[in-house]
Amino acid sequence: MDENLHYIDRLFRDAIDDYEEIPSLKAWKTISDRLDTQRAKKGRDYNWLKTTSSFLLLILLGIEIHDVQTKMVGDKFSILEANIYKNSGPVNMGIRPNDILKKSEKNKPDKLVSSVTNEKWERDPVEQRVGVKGIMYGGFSRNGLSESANTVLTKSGPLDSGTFISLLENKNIPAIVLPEKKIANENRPGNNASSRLSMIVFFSPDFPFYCLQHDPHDISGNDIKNGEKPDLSSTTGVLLDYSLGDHWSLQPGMSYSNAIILIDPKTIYAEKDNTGSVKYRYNASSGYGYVLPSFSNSPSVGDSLYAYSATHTLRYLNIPIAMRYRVQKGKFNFFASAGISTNILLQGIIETLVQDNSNNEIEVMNHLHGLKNIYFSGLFNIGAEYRLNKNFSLMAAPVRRFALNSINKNVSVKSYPNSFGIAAGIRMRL
Amino acid sequence: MKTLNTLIQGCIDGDRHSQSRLYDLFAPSMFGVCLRYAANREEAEEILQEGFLKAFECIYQFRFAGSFEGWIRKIMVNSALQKYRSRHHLHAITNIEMPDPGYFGDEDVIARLSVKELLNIIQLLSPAYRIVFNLYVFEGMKHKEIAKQLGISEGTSKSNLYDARMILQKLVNNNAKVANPTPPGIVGQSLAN
Repeated sequence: MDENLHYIDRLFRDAIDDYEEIPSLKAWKTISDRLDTQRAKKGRDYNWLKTTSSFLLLILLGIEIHDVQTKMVGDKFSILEANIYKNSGPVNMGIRPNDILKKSEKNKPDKLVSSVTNEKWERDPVEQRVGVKGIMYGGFSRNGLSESANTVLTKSGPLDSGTFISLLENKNIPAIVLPEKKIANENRPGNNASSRLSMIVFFSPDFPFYCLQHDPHDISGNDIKNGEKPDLSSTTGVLLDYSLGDHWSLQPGMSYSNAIILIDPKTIYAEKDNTGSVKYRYNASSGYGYVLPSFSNSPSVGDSLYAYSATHTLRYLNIPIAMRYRVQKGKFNFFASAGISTNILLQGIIETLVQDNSNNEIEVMNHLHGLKNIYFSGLFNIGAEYRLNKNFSLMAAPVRRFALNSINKNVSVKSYPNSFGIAAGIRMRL
Repeated sequence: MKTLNTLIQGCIDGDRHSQSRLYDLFAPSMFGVCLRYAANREEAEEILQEGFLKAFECIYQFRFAGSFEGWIRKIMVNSALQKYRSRHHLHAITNIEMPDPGYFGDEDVIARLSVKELLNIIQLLSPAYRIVFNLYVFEGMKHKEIAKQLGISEGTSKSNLYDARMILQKLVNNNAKVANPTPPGIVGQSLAN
């Protein structure tokens, strides 16, 4: 019986093991469609970042345009205001009530009626002067013009909208209308358009630590993890700080980071590269490179070389954007900010000295396979600023940076760079 | 070999033409593998699709050492296991009332069974029997490995294999005796729910 059962195994194995059959055409079409979907999805993964960045830039641009326009209105008003103070008394004294009333009958626009409140006009001369809520400039009553206006209006009875418009249109009474918002902004401290933007130049020595993920059974992954030590790194750059209110501000910027990793000596082996030629492969946490020393330019697969301590350098251009919350206490500003950074690879190199029995040579690997051109990181900091004068402040803040995705792909070890730094810099009000 | 490596490199770079050519190269043999694990052709195509998608996704992990066919075959088998893990319990099999198949028939008669017929016979097994039989006979796995792979005990694996063999033996005998056998439906479909 047992013999029969084993015969069953052999019967099926011999007959079917190498069996081939062509699947339907639909099978490949489905695979192809799903590959397209996956590719599109990968694209979308980055698209959200592009969309968010574009959206933030548009908001920033919109705020800036609005700010410039507001400033221009403010400048025009200043000129008018100066004219009021200069010319008000003598000019307005000559206006006769009958002239105003005549004009008002000809010219009665409806659109400003709702803005005019004139119920108390006759009762209280003081209220008459501010009877147009939120439109008439408050400082108006401080000079002789208010008196002249009173002179004009007190005998005319309740003021209708047409009369008021006539007043404004009369060349003898300078325009005294301001947008409500402008008045509100004038009264808000620290909201001067020209002081909203400032620039921070900073330098941060960083203490990096790398989170390496690999299959625990992968010996090469363990070797890489144990054989690499991050050295002191640094980040330097410029941030623009755009104030969004009393406490919040938006901080886009640009910085340059330089990270160094020291790699222990190790033996490297020759193997076929992606083009089929045999070279010595050097594995690192961020990727791998190939070397072909002049003294061993035609190695066989499995040949080995000794590589001395190596220096692995990674240089990135960082484009951070962060939201900052600040609290002012005397000359100090305490703040916390959080944001994300797009990190663009500028350079990834490994330099080492390789040696066989009798020769040695310095090798520089400029092209590392597996290293991504872009990765994203998050950043968080808490710090303080000390105001030196109206335009300059000193800043110090511990910064924590952490990778949101790995810096490499298609390799056995995935590397997530993290760091802790202390940023010091100076803020200049623009 | 160089052509295959070039194709693989093309697939790593996401080149659709390379993917298509690699598919054309390996689809027939891999479909043969999938047919053994599936209950029918449609299921086999589903496994094949999942397997190739997984292969294209992870192809960068292939280190150009060893057989690529072996590598992709492993992916197909894993896809098949994944499919049945999500659909079926692979654990206990009880209350199988199979008559003693008796003596295994004349080898010449059995040899006349076509490969297609033998494949159909395997597809008649319940998923649990079919998978254990495939892993043991075709992939050369031991019961310990099968048990670990399927999350069942070694005893269950042995029992399933024994039962699968008994059923196959009976079906082969029946098929060999009858010129146009009508499949009696899925055999051994008494999985614990």
